[in-house]
Amino acid sequence: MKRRHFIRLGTIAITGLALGACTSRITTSHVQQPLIYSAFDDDEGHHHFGLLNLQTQQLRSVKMAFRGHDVLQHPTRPNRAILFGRRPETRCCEVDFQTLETREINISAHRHFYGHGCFSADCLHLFTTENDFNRARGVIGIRDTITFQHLGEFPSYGIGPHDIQLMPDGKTLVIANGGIRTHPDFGRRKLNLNSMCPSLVYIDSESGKKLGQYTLPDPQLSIRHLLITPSGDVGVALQYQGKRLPASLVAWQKQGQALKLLDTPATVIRALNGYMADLAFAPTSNILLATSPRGNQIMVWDTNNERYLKNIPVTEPSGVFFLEQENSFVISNSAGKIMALDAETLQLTKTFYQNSAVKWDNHMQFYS
Amino acid sequence: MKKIIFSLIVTGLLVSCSHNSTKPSVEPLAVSTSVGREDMQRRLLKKLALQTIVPLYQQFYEHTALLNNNISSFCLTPNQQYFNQVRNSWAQTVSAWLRADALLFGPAIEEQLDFFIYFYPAKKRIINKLLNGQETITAELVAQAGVGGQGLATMEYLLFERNLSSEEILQNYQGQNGKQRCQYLGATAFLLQQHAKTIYDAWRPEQGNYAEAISRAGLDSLIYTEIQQPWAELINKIFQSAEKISSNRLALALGKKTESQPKPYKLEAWRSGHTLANIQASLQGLRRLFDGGLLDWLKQNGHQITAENLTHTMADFDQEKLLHTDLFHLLQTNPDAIDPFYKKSKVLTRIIKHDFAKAMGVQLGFNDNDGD
Repeated sequence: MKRRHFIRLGTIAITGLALGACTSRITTSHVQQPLIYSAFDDDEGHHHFGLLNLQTQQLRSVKMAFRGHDVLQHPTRPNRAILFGRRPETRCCEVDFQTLETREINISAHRHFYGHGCFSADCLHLFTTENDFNRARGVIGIRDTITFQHLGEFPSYGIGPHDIQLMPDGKTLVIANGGIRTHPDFGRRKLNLNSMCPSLVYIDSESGKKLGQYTLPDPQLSIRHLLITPSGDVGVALQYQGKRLPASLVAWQKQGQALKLLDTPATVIRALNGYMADLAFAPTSNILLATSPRGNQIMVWDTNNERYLKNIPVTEPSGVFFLEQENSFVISNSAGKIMALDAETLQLTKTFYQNSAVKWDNHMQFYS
Repeated sequence: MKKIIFSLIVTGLLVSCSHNSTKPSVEPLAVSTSVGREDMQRRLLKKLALQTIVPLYQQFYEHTALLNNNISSFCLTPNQQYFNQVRNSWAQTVSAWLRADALLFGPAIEEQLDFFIYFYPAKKRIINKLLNGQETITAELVAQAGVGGQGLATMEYLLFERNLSSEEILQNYQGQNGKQRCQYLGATAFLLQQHAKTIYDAWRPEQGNYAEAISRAGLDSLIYTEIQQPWAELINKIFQSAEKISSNRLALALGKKTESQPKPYKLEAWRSGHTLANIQASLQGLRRLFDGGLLDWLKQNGHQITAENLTHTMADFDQEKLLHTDLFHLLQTNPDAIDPFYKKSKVLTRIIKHDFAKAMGVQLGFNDNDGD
C-alpha cells in the first residue's frame, strides 16, 4: 500500500472508518513481513525496481530499461507492484516479485508519464499523471487495473501534473499540477519557467469534473508531491524554479481551507536549495516530515499549530513514510540507508538496512 | 518541430495565473560567514566569464558568420570547391558550439536558444515539406518551422548523406531544386548567426554583460541573489556535459543502456560522421574551463589530487586516436574498439561528480540533481 494509504489504514484500524476498500483489501488478505517497494539506481547508474524485506534484509530487484519514480503495490494481485516511468518516459512496468516477471504498461499516442499514479477506491481503475505535450496540458490517464487497457482520460486542469492521490472520501482525486511545461523533443528541459502556473486541483474520480483549484502566491513554486492525512488535510512538497529565496518549500491545506505555505526560517530554506522530495505524516502526533535531498535535511512541522519544529541532518534523504507499529518515520536515502526516526522524540533511532550500492529514489511504499 | 517554441512564447504571454497575492515574499539573505571565499568565487567566475566564456561565444559567433558567408558564395557558384568549403565551415561551427556545451545556462538557454542552434535529430518531414513546397524559403519561413527544421542538425541533413558522395550531393544544388535547397541553407545560416549573436551579446561586457551578473551574484546582480547559484550552475553544467558524452552520445549508440546491439543511427551526427569530433569539441570546452581557473582553484584550496586526476584524464583524451575516426563506421564494423574510450569518458564523469564537484562545494547527488 502507498505510504499515505498505509497511514490511512492505520487510522482505519483505530477509527473503524470504511475507507479505500481497494487498499484495505491488500492488508487483510496478504499479511506478510514488512516490505518496502522502491526504485533505485546502482553504482553504475543502472535502474532497478526493488522489494526489500526489512526483516530478512533480502532485496529482490529487477533491472529496468528506464528510470522509475513512484511505486504502487497492486491492489488485488499479490506480489505485484507498479513502477511509474518518470517524464518523459512512455512506459510504466508491473513486476511480479515472486517470479520477477515484468509487464509493460504503455502510454497512448502523444502522451508521456510523469512518474505517479493511484488506484480508484474500488480497485478497478489506475489513474496516472500524463502529458498531452502537443497541446501543452496535463491529463489523468485511466486504465483497467488488470489488463491496463487505456479506458480514457480526464484533464488535470493544469500543466505538468506530477503526484496524484485519492482523498479519504474514496471519490475525489487530488492532483499536483507542477506548472512546468515540457516536451519530449526537449528531453527534461523546463520550457516555461517565466510563465509557470502550478495548482492543486481536486477532481471527481468518476466524472473528471473539477471540484476545486488552489494556487500559491509564488508561481515559481512548483507543486510536486502530496501527502494526504486520514482527515483529508493535504501536505505539499514544493520545488522552487526561481533564482531568489522562496518563502517556503512546503505547503499545507487543512481540509476545506486555503492552501498556505508552512512557515520555515529563511536561513533553513536557504540551505534546502529549492527542492523538497517526499512527505509523511504521523497521525499519532500530527507531525509532518519532508525530505530535502539537496539540503541533506529532514524538515519537521507540527501541523496542530502549523509551526516549524526542526531540521535533522541526513545525507540526501529521499523517500519517507510513517510506520505506525513503531511510531516512527522510515526514511530512505541515496547512500543506501533505510532508517527510522522516532515520531515522538524526533531522533534517528536505527538503521534497518544499509547498502551503499543502492541509491534509493525519491519514493517508497511500505507493505506488511 | 511544430512551432513549439513560438507557441510556447505566445502561451506564456497569454496565460494569466491568478494567485493569492501579488509578490512572493523574499527574505533578506543572511550575511555569509565566508566572505573571503565568496570573493574568491566571484573573482574566478569573472575570470572564467571574460577569459573563457565570452571568447568561446565570440568564436562561435564568428564561425556562424563565416558559414553564412560561405553559403552565400556557394549559392552564387555551386561548385565542388565552395561546397567543400561550406561543409568544412559547418563542421567548424558545430565544434565551436560544442566547445560551449558546458555553458548551457543563462543566455544560451533563454527561450531555449540552444535548441534553435542544435536540435537533433532534425525533423526530416518538416525539412522536406519546406524543400518540396512552392514558397520561397525565407528566414521567416524557416523560423516558423520550429527547432526541428533549422540549426546545425538541419544543415547537416542538407549537406551530408552517407550513401552519396560529395559530388552526388552537390548535384542536389543544381537547377530549380538546388535553388530551393540553397535558399534553405542560407535562411538557416542567417538565423543561426542571429542566435549566436544574441548569446554572445548577452555575455559580453559592452552589451548584456551576463559576465557581470554572475560575478556580482549576491551583491548587486539582478539575476542571482547568492554567489553559490551561478557557481553551482556552472559545476552542474560541467558535470552534465561530461555525463552527456558518456551516457547520451556513447552509451546510447553503443547499446549500453539497453544491453542491445550498437545503434549507429542514434549518433547525433551520423550523417556527417562528425560525432567524435563533436565529443572532442565538448572535451576541449571542458579543458578550457579547467585550464581557465578551475584547476588552479582546486590546487589553491587543498584539492591537488583531484586537480591532477582531472589533468591526467583530460590529457588521456588528447592521445586518443579514435577521436579522428568515424564512429558510425566503427559501430558497424568494430564496436568493441570504442569500449576503452567509452570507459575513459565514464572515468571523467565519475571524477567530476565525486571529486571535482565535492571539492568545489557543490552537491551533485542522485536525486537532487534531477530527481523529479
